[in-house]
Amino acid sequence: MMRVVVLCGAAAVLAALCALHLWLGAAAMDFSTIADAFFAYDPKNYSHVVVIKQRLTRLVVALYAGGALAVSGYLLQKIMQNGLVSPSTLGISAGATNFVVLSVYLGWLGGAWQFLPALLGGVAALAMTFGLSNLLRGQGDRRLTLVLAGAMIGTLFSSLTTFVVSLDADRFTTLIGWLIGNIGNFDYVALIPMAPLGVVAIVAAAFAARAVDVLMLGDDQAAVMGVNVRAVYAVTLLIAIVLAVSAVTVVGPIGFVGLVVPHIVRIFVGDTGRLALWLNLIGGAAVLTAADILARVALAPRVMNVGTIMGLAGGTIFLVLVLAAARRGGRI
Amino acid sequence: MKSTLLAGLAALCAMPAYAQEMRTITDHSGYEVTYPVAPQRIVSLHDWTTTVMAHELGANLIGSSGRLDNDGNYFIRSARELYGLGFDQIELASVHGDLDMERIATLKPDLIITNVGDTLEYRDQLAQIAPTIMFEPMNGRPPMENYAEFADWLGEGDRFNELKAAYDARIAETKGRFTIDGRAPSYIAIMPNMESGEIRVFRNYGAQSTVLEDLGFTHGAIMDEVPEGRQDANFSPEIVGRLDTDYIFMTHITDRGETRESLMAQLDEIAPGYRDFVPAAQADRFVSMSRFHVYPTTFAAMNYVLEQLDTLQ
Repeated sequence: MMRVVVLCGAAAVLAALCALHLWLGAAAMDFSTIADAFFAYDPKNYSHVVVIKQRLTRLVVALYAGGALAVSGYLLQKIMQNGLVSPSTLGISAGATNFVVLSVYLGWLGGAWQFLPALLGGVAALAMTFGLSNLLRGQGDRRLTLVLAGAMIGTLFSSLTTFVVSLDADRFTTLIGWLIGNIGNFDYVALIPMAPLGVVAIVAAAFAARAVDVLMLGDDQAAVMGVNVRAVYAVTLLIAIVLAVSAVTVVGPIGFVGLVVPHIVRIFVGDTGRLALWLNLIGGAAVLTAADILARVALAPRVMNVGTIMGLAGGTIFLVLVLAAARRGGRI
Repeated sequence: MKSTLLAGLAALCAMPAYAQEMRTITDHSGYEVTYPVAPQRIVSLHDWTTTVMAHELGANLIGSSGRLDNDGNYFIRSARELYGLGFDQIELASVHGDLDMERIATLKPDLIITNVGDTLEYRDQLAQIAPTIMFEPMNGRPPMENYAEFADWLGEGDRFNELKAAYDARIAETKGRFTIDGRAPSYIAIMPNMESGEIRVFRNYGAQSTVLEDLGFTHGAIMDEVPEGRQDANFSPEIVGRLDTDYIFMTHITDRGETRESLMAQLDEIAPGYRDFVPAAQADRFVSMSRFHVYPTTFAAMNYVLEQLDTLQ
């Protein structure tokens, strides 16, 4: 019963944020106009156009990217039993971004096909992070070593991205917002081919939830309980990468969602069972939706960069979580 | 006798210092710069501001930064379009965005002129090569005020006044030709931003907005919402309902195949249905001019704008 209440509560918060997202913006609008836009759409009424083709499209992108990044971070933190990992801190986002930029520079793949270089870049970056982490093994806390390796690989790929952009800056002027992580009004176009991938990955994550829970007992114990440790680990990793890369392909490397949301959810329901998975999905969507509301309203009619808002808010929240953990003598 | 000889020698040694008269100014980055009153070897490191202005004023410009076009040739943005100036006439000092200190030093400039936005971080290195004046076209002051100050820095104040007088006469001749219902028309300068799906609104747009304001056009209120000291800002496409001016001005890059129609088509994607209620669209008063012609605030650019406006009548 408690689980249902928590889930409904989270869904209600998300629904309220969605309503706020549709209501608030550079142009003032009342709820009846918003309702009319949905139920009696008139393409010659610009308010209706704003609601459906500008606010709703951004909202859908924020919901997807937020949910995908949060679930990806949740799965990564869970299988690695490390609260400091996320698509950003493992270098996945930077690797995906770099390979997309390379693909644009070389004129290889465009549109939805950019998912492929992004996936390749994400996998390459993660493999390099693991490799470097292994080389650093024995030089301190294993959890910190992994994050340090991720930070180094992320920086390497970000520097490569900067280098490629500097080779032909004019070609990338239209990608600047994406490069630093942002929600644009046309991102829904990129979302359309990504969404099915994300849905499949989320469903797969739900099916794998129980096996992943068992994995947390330790490899030996999980094996004794009949879980194919390597297979579950590999599949979960693949799901996490696909989710992160699909989000990065749409909105660029927006940070902190995948790092912070799993911690917040953990405070309320722990991190086992499917409830934690669904709450991460809802929580990530809610956090990025809230960031997009702020981005559009704070300096309206100007629109701030969502990645910047998320960086500021996410960084602050993460700092608070670390301080709170330190006060109670634990670790994050 | 010996001391007299020594004094004479010292005076001779000191002579080169007097050979070139120097002056000191405070540039737009706040630095005090001491440089020759009549510089003979000026190198400009920003094409569409300092290069075009120095060239128009007739200063001794021997080199400029340039950009690479799609055919692999270097060109000087806006100087090519407005004056036909190219690297067959002056030296390539650097590629825009990638300063080449050795190349600049090889040109042996006695004055470097550049802009704050692109080169401030290299100011100290540049100052080791030659006195360096930094110009800021987007400091919130009227463009003509900045240009007049720049002309004074180069000792070309008379030439500036001459050009300004001719321009003022042309404005006086044209003013009053543009009226709508007996009043001065209103305008707004925008650009569709296809990357983010936003609308870039300009507080001022070089020669284009300078001429319009000089002709008495009033600007739309939304232009005042661009933050102070900035030339432009990206606004949400939700503001389309506030694009309620008589004219809407944009710019296009011909080399990219852009036209007024292609820009309007971009707006169709950003703000679907705008043609149905934006007054300028309904009255066919969307105007687009060549961006590289109107971006600088030089007299050649302003004369180009006036010529373009003449075609609207």
